[in-house]
Amino acid sequence: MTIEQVLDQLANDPRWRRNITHWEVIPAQAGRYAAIPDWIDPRLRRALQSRGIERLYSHQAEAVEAVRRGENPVVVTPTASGKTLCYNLPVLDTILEDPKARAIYLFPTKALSWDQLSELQELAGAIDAGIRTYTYDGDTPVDARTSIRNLGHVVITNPDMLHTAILPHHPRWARLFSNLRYVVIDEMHQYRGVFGSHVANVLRRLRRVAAFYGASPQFICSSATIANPAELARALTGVTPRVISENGAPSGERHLLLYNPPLVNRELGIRRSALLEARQLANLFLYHNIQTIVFAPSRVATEVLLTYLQEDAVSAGRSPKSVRGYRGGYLPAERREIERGLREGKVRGVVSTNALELGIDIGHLDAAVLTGYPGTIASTWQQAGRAGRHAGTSVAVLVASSNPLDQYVVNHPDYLLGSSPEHGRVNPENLYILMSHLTAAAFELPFTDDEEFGVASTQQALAYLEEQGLLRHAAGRWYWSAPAYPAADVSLRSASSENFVVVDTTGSSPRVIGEVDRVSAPMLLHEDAIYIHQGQQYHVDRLDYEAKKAYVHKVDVDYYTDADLSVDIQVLDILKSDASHPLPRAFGEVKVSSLVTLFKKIKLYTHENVGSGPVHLPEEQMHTQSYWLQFPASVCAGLGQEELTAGLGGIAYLLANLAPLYVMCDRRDLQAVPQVRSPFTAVPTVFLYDRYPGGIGLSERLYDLHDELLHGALAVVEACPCSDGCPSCVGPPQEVGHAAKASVLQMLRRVVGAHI
Amino acid sequence: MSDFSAKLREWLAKPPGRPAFSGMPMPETFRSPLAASAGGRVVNTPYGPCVEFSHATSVLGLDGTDRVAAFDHDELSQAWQLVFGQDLPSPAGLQDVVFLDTETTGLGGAGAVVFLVGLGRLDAQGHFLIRQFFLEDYQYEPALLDVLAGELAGARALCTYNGRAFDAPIIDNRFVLNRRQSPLAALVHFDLLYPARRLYRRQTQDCSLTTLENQVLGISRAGDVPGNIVPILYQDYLASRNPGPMAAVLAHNRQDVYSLFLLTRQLLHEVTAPLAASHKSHHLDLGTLLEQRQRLREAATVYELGLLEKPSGSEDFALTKERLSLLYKRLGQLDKAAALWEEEVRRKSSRYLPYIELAKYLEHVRRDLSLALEVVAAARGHRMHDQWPAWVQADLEHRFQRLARRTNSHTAQ
Ligand SMILES: [Zn+2]
Repeated sequence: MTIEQVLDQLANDPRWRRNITHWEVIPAQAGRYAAIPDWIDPRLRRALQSRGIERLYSHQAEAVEAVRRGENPVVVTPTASGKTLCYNLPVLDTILEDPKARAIYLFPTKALSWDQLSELQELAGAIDAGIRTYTYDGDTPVDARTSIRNLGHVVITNPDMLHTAILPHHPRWARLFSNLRYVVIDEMHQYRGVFGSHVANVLRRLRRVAAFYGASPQFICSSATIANPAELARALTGVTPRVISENGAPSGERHLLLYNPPLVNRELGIRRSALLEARQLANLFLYHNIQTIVFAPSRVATEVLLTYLQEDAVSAGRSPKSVRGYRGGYLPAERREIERGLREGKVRGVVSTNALELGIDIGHLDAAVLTGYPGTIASTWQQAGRAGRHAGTSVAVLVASSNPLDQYVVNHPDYLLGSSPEHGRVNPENLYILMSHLTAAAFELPFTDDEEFGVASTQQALAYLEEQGLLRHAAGRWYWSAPAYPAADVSLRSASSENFVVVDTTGSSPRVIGEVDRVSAPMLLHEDAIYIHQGQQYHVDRLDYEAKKAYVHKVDVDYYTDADLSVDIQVLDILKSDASHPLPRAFGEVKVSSLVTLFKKIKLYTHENVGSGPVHLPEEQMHTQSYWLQFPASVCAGLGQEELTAGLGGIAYLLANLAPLYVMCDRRDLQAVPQVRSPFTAVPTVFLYDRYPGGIGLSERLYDLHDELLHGALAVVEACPCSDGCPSCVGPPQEVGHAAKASVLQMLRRVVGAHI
Repeated sequence: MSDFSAKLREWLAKPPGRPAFSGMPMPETFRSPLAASAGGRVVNTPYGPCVEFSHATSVLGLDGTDRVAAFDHDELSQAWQLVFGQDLPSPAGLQDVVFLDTETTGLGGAGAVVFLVGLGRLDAQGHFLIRQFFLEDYQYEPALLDVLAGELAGARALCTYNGRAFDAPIIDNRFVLNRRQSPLAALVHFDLLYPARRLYRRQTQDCSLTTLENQVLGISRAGDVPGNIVPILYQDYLASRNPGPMAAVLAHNRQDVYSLFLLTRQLLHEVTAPLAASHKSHHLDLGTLLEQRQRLREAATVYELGLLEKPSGSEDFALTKERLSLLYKRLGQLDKAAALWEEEVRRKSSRYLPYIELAKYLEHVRRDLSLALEVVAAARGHRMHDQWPAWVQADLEHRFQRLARRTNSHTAQ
């Protein structure tokens, strides 16, 4: 069957049709073109022509002209719209004009860097004017580094390398920095939240170092669709951007289906699992030989889905190798092989976490299945965009999970399809982040007495570092004065710089099979956990917490494990509060202590709880920012102890799941904790806090959005068809209590009703 | 981390302008407690003041190695080439080589500062002169670099210990950061770590300069400062201006420069007088070095001497014999080589090379097929046979089949 026939089946067969809550057809679009500007070097023009490029898309022409005028363009167009030419063209043209000129390309991942390198090298090769392009990352051989530093016209790297290897050693890169004309930032929308706040500071350091060498580079950014590309670009780069968002590239007909798994128990609000529905949809496409990508919401889900689809491939007489997994934690060689298999068509299906959401060239896939709402509109479009780079018809299906955010999205197509994408937010002034980079910057070049780094209080912050024994103030400058290398202590990606490694001891010699970030490690690698890698289950025999190593061996069991996290909160300081609202709220600093105490064994396929065990790991502490809601007696009146507990649990569940709609962040970036009698407020309280030391501004923003949040929460609960709570509104009754839905409705109606 | 936030907020809330805490106030006029207490002097440059210390040692008449100082130009350049595998820039003598060692505030990167440079040079009278330049405080770095540039401008070559990886990049960084051309670019840089490691690694637990000076040169430092606390002592000096511990760092650096020179001299001595009793390198390594530098006859003599010194039956002994046999073969002395292989085969050596080489020799040179077959058969039946590499086993099998065939056809005739 062709893809059109499969679409017909989805539209006509009631088994599928009744679950589709919305079917959007995005018509094919003709391209809009512009001539290659006549100032482009004839050698570059010929190279483009030799590759079949006789004219540009309108947005490409706009971008290269903007660069020519000295502006800093931000190109906001969809996947596969020829964004790379927007920067490759002006960069190569400048190098042809001035062979001393240099450019740095930043990509969020190593995999992307490699992909871009081959594209750039092909074009540079076609020009044949000795333009040298290199990637510089952890895999670069030591003996190649000197020539890359001195000779590379274009150095392709990632923010982490810039942060730990290039900027702290900038004198060795003097030739590059002295002639630095362009900094290219692809996938700019990836730099938000904690990561983005770090990257903004890394770029601040880059501008400072470049200025030392007399250079003031232009920034060329590209981004998926977000609400505030100009604001984010300015926050990241410190320069005034020019947004280019009119896409001139043609595209084939695209179908976007919103799919809600059927209710299997209306009373309990239980729907069929999104994972199982995604499995069926993927099998429908794969059975008809339609190359398909399946996105899964987590590593564990990726592995579980992969196991299913490989089994299904075997039952259908296909090779299990025709379906592969792909996620962070796989080793580079393994990834390369999978990418190649996809491009060459040997791999027919791939199950991925959002690692493949980025623009890695895996050729054109025909169908995408999104298991669960990816958390943001921008990610949704990027994941859906993996299907249909071409002129032909393509389809993307978003399968909702039962959590409130997903349910909201599939039942409100306007939210996704209307023109309200999220804001990409960074908070470069987060104290922890700013101080980390101020320290790194002081190592790179002495600060002067009148210098500012992001904040007006830079001089006081430097004095603080002096008191800590890191700097010495002499003759109007702050000199680095410690035997330390500060960039090594700061990871851009998570609270800690070190990952846990997973060691397989099944064979005769132990072998590292993967990595897990520190935050997830206690949940995934506690002793007796089942860790899944490439569809294979491993039992965790021992977790060496100090050495950050987990020792595992292969097993074949019919369950997976899920760890329970218990969290305690202590308020340190109130920064904002409002007691006049019927539901008083506050914002401030808190200390969060978290501890994994036990895990559950959950049976594969039926997902029932078949056992549990204790976890013995040290408690983790964090200072962060929180927004909290204090429930007065008037709101709780008439509720018994059990009902109140259930109500608070329900509200915490609801808010944690709904909040990402209002602030562009991962569900993991925020955590909600209910306290029936908070030791601090002395009344029933729900805390929502930033899961990053020091906070990244999410809870502060939620404090401001108090009313919207409460309205949204009430709307979700009122619209839910379940009788006394379900995973789509206040949480499953087994977890939050049977009284949850009634209590939440009562509490929220009192608040929202009273206020309007 | 618990009070980080609160503490920092307190700092950030302070009124702008120069904050209260600023370490030691800078004196109006330049003053160096270290210079005052350790006999240094202040040199004024167009870039400001710099503190200098000088020290001379007579290096003649210590031991056999002092003959190196008397080398004529040809002898020196040959010896130098043997040690480093690279020529001294002509027409440089030992007097044109600067021996350099630095003390820094960190291990590398733009924030690591050189606060002490020791430069050593031999003079025509056989004195080794060490001059040290000290950074009294960070703002005087331009002056230190200016003096260093001037000193190095008169040299042809630079000798360091691990300077390629450590000292040179940091010095280069400092010049770039001060917007000056690094003087190192004009010098040929010889890093003694590599040849020293080649020759001494078997006898010493590590190849740090301190270990080698102790185990090769027999020098033991009394009350030396451990290298890893040197940066901390400098921070203490900046804060307290107490010259005591810094004077110990000065002595440490001076000894490093001096040992670097003595070790260079020792190596120059050993490669040119490989049979002298005073050599400390391992005969296997010295022989290999000489072989690589095409000094084949000297290499053979070194191995021969090694065989006399080492207990037979040791791993070293067998290895030396093997090297020597291959070297004899290379020199065309096949009978001498064969005698060594035969000895090894007789004592049932567990190394495969003597069997293969002896079989080849018997078959192709002596044309004694049946004896060759016997040797191959012994190898195939050796208890270690199954652990030898696959290609060796295949070679033996192939050889055995061919020899068996040929001896059979011989007997048949
Ligand atoms: Zn519900």
